[in-house]
Amino acid sequence: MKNIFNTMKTSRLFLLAGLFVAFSACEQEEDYLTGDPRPSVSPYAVNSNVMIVNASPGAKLSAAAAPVANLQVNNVLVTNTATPPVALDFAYLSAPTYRGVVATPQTQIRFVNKEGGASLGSASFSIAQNSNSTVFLIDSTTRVGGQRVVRVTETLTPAPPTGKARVRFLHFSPNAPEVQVVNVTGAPTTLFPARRYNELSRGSANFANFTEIDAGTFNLEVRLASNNTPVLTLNGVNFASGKFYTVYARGLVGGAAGQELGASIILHN
Amino acid sequence: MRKILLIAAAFGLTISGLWAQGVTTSSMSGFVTDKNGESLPGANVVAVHLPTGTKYGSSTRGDGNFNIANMRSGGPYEVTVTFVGYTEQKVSGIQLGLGQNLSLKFQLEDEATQIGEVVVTAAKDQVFNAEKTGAATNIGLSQIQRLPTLNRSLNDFTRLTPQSNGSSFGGRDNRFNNLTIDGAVNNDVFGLTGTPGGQTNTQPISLDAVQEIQVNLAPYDVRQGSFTGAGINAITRSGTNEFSASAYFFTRNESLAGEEVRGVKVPNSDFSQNTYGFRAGGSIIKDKLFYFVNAEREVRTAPPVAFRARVGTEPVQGVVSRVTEADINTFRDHLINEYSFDPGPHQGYAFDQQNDKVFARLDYNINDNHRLTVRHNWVKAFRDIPPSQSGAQGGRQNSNTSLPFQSANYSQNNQTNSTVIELNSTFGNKYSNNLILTRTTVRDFRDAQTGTRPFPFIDIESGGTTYMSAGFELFSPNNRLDQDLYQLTNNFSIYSGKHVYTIGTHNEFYKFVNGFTPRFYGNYIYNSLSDFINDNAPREYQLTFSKLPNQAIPFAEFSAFQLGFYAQDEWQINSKFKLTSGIRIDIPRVYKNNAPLNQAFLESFGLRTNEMPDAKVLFSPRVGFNWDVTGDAKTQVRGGVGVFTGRPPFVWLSNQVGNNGISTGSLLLRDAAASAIRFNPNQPQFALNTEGQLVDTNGVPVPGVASTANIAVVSPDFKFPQLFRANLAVDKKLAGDVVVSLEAIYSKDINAIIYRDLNLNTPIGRRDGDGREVFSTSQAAGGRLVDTRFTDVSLLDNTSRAYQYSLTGQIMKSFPMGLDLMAAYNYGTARDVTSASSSIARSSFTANSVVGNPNQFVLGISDNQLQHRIIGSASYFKKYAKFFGTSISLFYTVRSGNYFSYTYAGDFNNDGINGNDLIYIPRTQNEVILVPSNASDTRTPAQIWTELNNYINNDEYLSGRKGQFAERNGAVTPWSSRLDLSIRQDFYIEVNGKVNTLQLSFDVFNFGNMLNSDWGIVQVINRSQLLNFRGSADGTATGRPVLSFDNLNSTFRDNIDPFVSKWEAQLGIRYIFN
Repeated sequence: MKNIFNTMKTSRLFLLAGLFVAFSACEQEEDYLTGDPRPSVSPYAVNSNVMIVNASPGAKLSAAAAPVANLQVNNVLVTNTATPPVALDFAYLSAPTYRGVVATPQTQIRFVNKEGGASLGSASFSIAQNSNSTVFLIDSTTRVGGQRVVRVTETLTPAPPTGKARVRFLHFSPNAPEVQVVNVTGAPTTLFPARRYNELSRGSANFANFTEIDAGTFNLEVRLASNNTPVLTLNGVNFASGKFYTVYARGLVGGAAGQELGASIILHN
Repeated sequence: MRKILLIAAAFGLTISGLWAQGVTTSSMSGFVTDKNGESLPGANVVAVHLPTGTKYGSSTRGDGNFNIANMRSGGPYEVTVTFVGYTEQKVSGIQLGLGQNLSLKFQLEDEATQIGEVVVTAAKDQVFNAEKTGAATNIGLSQIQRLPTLNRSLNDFTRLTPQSNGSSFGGRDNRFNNLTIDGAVNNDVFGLTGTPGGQTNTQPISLDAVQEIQVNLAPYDVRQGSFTGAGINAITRSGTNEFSASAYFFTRNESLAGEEVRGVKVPNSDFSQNTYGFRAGGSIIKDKLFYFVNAEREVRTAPPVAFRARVGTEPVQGVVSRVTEADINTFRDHLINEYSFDPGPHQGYAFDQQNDKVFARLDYNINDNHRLTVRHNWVKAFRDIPPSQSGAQGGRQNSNTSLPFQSANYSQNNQTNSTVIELNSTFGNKYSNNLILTRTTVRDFRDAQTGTRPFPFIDIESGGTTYMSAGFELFSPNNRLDQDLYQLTNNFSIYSGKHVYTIGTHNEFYKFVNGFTPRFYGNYIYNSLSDFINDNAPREYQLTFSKLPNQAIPFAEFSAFQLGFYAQDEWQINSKFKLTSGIRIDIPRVYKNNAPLNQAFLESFGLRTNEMPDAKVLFSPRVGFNWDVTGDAKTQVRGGVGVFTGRPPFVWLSNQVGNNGISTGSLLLRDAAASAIRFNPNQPQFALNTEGQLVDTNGVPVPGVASTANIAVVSPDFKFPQLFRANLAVDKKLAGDVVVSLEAIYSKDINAIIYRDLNLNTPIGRRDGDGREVFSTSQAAGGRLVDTRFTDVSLLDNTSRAYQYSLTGQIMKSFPMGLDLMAAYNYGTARDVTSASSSIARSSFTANSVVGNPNQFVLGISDNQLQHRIIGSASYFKKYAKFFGTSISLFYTVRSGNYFSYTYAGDFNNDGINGNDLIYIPRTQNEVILVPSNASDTRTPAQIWTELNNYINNDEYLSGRKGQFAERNGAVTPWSSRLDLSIRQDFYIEVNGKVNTLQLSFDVFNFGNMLNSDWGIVQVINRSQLLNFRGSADGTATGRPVLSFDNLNSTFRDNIDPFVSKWEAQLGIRYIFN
């Protein structure tokens, strides 16, 4: 009996010692408190401005009028506030104004033909909150690969100093060659350097950036970069103090009436 | 002579089997008394293993007890007890199971009384083996030969354990098992696959060489160790005095495989797999020296790749790829003419797979006291594998969009040699010894399909997706793993009175050399074929380069050992109660490694990349008991508690040696950054010059190389896995020989595994519209990363927050007419904070689904949980009409599903990891910002919400958790069931007293699907990455999330992958001599 007792006791001691060692290694860790979900209760609000410009002159060298476009933002048709709402039309050369757009990363902008609803061109942009962008539908409707949508952004604050205006120039004439813009009001000076169709930057120069100029009235010439021949004359263009402007070349060289080569001016503020 | 069936009590003879759980042997014990019950010391007990004539002898000690240890498993044994003045008693027909300790009690009669020979014809009792304490399952030779199997894999038999889930047991990862064959460790200790050679799809040993398998979940015997999952012990066959041999052939091909899932035809691609082998065993010297050999070859062929190059202007459809023959020829000719590199054929090549196994064993009965076994297992295997798809836009495989050349493939090779020497000795009747020495070498290495010449890997793209590929496969340069494993085990037992004391040691020594240098020869990706032909810049260039002196190849080398010492006492307190208690001490240590010290890392994080954790002493005390309640082996209560120490897959430790940040560097140049790169076949592509700049062979520096590194380290306090386990069980033999068992097992981790990213900074806030913590998006110092010189830093550490438990019920009956039935149900629960299951530290960290901070942990359902499992097996064998025998076996499994997590695709919390963020389940459209998925998606956000809301409402898990975060592994796939069938048809003929058998076999997995294509279907989750995270609404790190949702009509779909939901069969023919 003595033996049994000793063996039992020894076994028990072993076990207790081991378990003590084992359990003393346990830390008191706790579950991570992730917190309760905090979903939003209100829908995501409109908070960015997008200027929508239909710069597409229609089919190349055709007498038919360029199609009028409607716009979808993330597949939702942009409409007016009437009841029932009516889709807003964006015709070639119609005057653009800023629209409020629900800004999201990868916002889908799609221009569709008002007649029939076929997609004319679409692209996805990351639109930041409280930002200003200008979106252009470009290219002729007969372009192989479809029409494209391009976007430039603009920062309208702080305003230019008194007596100054900010202007930029974009080339959206599908068949016009490389051009530059020369200020011929006085002695000719190059106002905007050479760029090709739909070229938004070259080297370190970003053509979406504004150039600050003295406010006033200007005579401008759009000239071929190759030989300086003027192709377009813009006389009496007024750039007012404190304002932002986008001047863009549009239309087709040799285009039919209504789609001829020209320039348009957008006032941003 | 009279034959008596287990009415032993009348003759003072009780037989009950006891499981002492030795790893490779069996034993007998018991006592001898006279007819009055007085013990008889000095009686002779001799057990003879009849097939080999091996004699084991002992004599009873002072109290009449005897022990015979380290006996061969199997039988039949004949045990004879003699004592002067008493009639000899003999028991015949005894079969010993692996690890069984059979208890025999003899009551001798005076010489005057005549009794006959007692013949035991009952099969060895698996359950009422009275020293059985923890859960254990034994699979014997007849089951191995008759139960259904296709791959001839041990898994097809270990699944008879109710607590199993494929190859995992008790709710624990299968890497924590310890598989031994003849006592030699045989799982892949490095941890890349389950068993050595797994990457080549070979089994570690031929099934024809296996005699018996035992699965132990809670063996309180301290001789069993090195696992926290299950200990699986298998022993191999040996020769006997009678020569016996068998030759066999098995075949599988696509016509022996089903093609229908729920009435829908899903054709399988062609394949054929044939296995040829033979085995033979016999004696070289009768009763003394025996041999057993087995050789087997398994060959699997698939037909040549299907797609071919486009000729002329034929349409791209069917098997015609868009890749033109003209382009193929231009590419190939350029490689041969300019660089003398022949990329091999571009179509019509096949992927082969083959393995050869040879097993040989010698058993030597040196004398009555010593028996020696020497055996060797050799495996050589290879498998052709298509190239890695990593970095290929649109896929880099033989398809209608791309045609890689044959050189782009690689072969995975494996060669394994395993030698075991075992010496079993007895010293008088008081001591015995078991000594095992093993040596295993495993060599895994890759071959490129066109030789060993290092050559860059070239992808030619067209239209933005991969078009043609050739070169040395991307992940194959220097890809090899050499493992050398040595083992020394010695168990010394002392028999004294009612006690058996065992002291012993078990030591493992490992040496690993691991090479892994993807893209070591360079990877060039060109936008077009003409760019490559005209030597223009590639679109992308990637390279891994050595930072070691002389550009030495950075192999990770390390050596480790695990020493083990133990002592235990098995105390048969009385005839009904046995208590086993003991303690085991394991000392694991990585004692040598070649990782360099990363000084910058040490300064930032305070950890040394060249140091492994110190040796820790890990104690495993154990206590188990077995109580034969009524003393007649009809009711048994057993149980125990103890600590088990396992071995982590060493790849987890080798991650530190390989990912130290200064042995290799990597280069990734894209678009403009790659503009200065031109194709160069020479090696090395770039190397560090003495100033530490990366330069080409002309000394021209590579532009714009940022030096960052990802690091893996092991915590200095890291301890090998350790588990506390307790079990309690009742076994009862009911009327009619029906055996019922109930068992409960509880396990609590003491040292489980956890990974942390030390370089992930703390969260900077919570996401609007969601509420979880998010990290900074800034790549600058102080942003998301603590130290911008490093990318991710994975720390391997311990946690104790994990547990598992299971409840099992099992019922079985063997009918004398040849029918064996078994059914079992297992309820299992497994919880952990991470199921860390990859061999790469970073992948284990990123696979953990979280809400918010991946460095913080929440207890949840483990990947290894299998909640319900019902198994049933029925096996019937009958000989008839003198020449015929038929065996039919069925194995049926019904089980609950696998767990999965609903996550976002993308990086929701800015932690730098895609796909690890659990979703928030929205209640209304206002709670989510939804955008179209892509340019061709015409749905409005309102329409997308309607589809998402429908999915949520129809999903059982999501509909019950609206307004909450999804849980890690919170959702589960549906139940599934599967019936497997095997038929063996034997034809016998007896010639000159020897039996010749021709056996035809037919095994079908998922037989239910063969009968009805609606049965046996496994369903999988359609898409667990339910929503895409598209970005933050306001562009900041904490802005409202913007999501997109691709519509899904149902949560689950049928898994139509080959051989999951469809049946597959194997035909075989075998000749058996004797």
